[in-house]
Amino acid sequence: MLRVSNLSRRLGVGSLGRFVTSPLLQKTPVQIFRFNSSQNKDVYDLWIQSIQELRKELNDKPWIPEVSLAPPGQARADMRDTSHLQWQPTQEQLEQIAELKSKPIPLKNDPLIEHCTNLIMKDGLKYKANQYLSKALYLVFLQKRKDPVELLRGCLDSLGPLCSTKTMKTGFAKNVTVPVPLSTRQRNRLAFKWILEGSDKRASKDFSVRLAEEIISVIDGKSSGFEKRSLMHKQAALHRAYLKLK
Amino acid sequence: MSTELSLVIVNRCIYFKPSPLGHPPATCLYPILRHPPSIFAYNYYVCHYLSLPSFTTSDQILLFPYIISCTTQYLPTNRSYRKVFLHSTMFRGIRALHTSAASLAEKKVSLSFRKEAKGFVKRSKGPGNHKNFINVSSTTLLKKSESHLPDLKPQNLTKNVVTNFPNDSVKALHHLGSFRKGQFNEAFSRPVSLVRDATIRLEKILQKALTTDSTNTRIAIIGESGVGKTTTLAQFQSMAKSHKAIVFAINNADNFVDGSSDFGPSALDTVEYRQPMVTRKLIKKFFKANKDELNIPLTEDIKFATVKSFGERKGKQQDLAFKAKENTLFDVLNHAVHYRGDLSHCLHFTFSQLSASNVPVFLTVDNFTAFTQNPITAYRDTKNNRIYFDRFEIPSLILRYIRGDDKFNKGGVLISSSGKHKSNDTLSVALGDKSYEPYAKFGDFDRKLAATLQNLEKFEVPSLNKEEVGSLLQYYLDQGIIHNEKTDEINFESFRDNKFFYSSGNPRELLKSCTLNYY
Amino acid sequence: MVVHILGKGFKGKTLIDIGLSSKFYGVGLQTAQRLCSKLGFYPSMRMHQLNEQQVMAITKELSDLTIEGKLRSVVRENIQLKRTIGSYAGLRHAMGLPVRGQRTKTNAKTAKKLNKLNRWG
Repeated sequence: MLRVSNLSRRLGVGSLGRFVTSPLLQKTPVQIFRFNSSQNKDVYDLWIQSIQELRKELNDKPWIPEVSLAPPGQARADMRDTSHLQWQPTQEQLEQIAELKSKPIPLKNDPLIEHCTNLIMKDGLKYKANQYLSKALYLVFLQKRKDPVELLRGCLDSLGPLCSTKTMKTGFAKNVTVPVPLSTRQRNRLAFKWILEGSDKRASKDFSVRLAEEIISVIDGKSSGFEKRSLMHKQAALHRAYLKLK
Repeated sequence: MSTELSLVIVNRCIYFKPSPLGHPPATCLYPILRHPPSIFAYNYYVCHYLSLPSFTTSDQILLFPYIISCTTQYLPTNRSYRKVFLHSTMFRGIRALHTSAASLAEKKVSLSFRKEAKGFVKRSKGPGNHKNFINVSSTTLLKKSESHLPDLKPQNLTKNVVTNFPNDSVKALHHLGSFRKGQFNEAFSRPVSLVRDATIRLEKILQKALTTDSTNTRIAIIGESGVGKTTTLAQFQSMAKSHKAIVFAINNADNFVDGSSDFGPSALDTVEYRQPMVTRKLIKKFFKANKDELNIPLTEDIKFATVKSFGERKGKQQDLAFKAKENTLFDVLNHAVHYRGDLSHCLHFTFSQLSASNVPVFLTVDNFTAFTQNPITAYRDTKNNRIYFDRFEIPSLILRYIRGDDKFNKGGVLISSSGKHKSNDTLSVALGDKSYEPYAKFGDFDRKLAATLQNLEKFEVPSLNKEEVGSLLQYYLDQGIIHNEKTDEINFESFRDNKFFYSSGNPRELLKSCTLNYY
Repeated sequence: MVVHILGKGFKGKTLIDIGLSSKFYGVGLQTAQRLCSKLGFYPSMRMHQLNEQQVMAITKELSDLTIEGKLRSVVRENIQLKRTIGSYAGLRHAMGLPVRGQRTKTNAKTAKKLNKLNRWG
């Protein structure tokens, strides 16, 4: 049975090396063979023969890497053995690993930015949505000269409603509207939706500019979103009599 | 407010144990609610407040959302306690005014980034800026911060140092239009640049050019898009200004070929067409940027014919003449910038005077690849045939200086390619990067132009190396423009390597990854 | 600012060649471009930049062309000729149906709208 690793040995490194070092042509083996085809007929044959054997082996039996890649004289190869790579981590690297092991894996993205990006996104164009948000945050930074992500976070915190109302079925003729507290994610969602609504009313054709202007107006406390928020709070307060605790 | 709270139930009302500071007055509640320090704190205050006898309905409505929001999290787990609390404090004797939410609900279609979703209905303009991102960002008024960077001085250039453009040249460069939109200059208090290997090489070229005639210094600055060709050119201009040289900068060659400005038959014999609006703009820019160096006595006379203005039909038809040796080039251009007639004779006069004088003069052309990409311009002659670009005055003037037909006694010609143009073979064959293909189509290779451009010497601006990326990043961190990294935690070397890898040493991409990349 | 050429009003910000080609029957983009080149207008010139002489020059050039009413009467004459010699095309025109062998079971909307002896457009 032919091992895959036997292929290069059978071909003979010496014969390959001779041509490669030739100053005339330092190109791919195929070109070399073509150039010297008359002298290297046996090499050609060896290639074809080896490929045929390999194909036969792969077609006859299922592909088991342990068996097929075993070195000559052994039945199975140790796939987890890395000694042949001849690489040892340095002491410094080992220390770094030990130091990092205790730390949690940091989040890839800021969850808030991710959430806002997803709210902007249409038709799955996430990169585009992220570009709009990034440009808007850059404009916010230019105006305020502070970390725009923290400003956005503060914005959503101040704009987000604390509670909302929900229609509950009572089973009788009448449904009741019940105030419910909102989670942080729900608050952020509503707040950012209001920011998006506010940005739609602005003049620029560039969405990032409209969004930046709206975020800045929220920071300054001028956004129309605050009215929506107080309206929602008022609504909840009106229906407080229906609040049921399980 | 981390003190422990204890509940006291008296007469169906819950009281919290008062804070060690005593009872907070009712008025202090409002600022707290507007800027809540923590949910726990206002839970405490609210409950405390509610137990006061002066509690009214309107207060209750105002406070209600906060109570709902915080009580559900922090109320005692015992259900009966909760009930007692809520019923006793909140709902005693008050009922809902009405239950219809429909009247208050607002349904709207979200448009967000697709403004055209409404179709072609013309919208009334809303509040805010009508510009697009690039124009808003480049015109945003900034709080200028002090920057303590060394100036870009040709005498002491140190590699990998971020420098200011010095005060004496930065104004001139602004006039010449050397700083562009989209270069993120607005992120910093003033335009800055990094001293690179290319800068130092260019400085040597400058030193040589200050003493030799312009045929010895004809440079083509090339490099990939965003690699800093325009900035390198600006550095050159700045250094040339520091040496009291005159800089004639054409900052966008597209203006001559894209049909955006007017044209007409030229009065000169050598060329066919003039472009009055562009000529006027160029002269204005040139004059403003080089006022101090223009005291060159004239070698020839020049006349400006009187132009009739609307008001004075029978005005005196008196020509204004400037005499050789009596007047200077400054006088001529000072008159020219307010002159209402054709200025192309003035432009040519200026160039002939500059060529005759011994002051070093540098002609720089940015986005030169506009000529190689569109050698046949958007303009058409009276027979509706499109016009080749060298039949216009200013492009032909540029070509004459590249070819060496005209030359400055001291100085040079620098052109810079642009990344926004499609690459074609003309410039690369002329500079010897590609071999000449006899069967190439005209669109791919302009033989006539390539023969002219063969006189140019190639000057390649390479990508940044790791050290250069490092010093730029250090500057960005100092300026506080990087927010997408937790900058206090990062290991600078790995951060630098990371940015170097992702930007592949391209300065524009590097800056983009720092400023326009929130994730 | 509105510019009037041959009784038609153009918005000031319109490009000249595009404006002309959009308002005159028988003037397409190519004709308009040729006209602009002949009169020495630059490609991105706008209507409001025209002075009186230039408007007069455009008017003169346009009046030399076969456009609008003149062109419509030519088309009508051609159709009338086909009808009088009794050709099939003439017949189809008279019936208000497609002339060049298109299907009529469905579609043929344009033909039904436009094809008549006294054709308008």
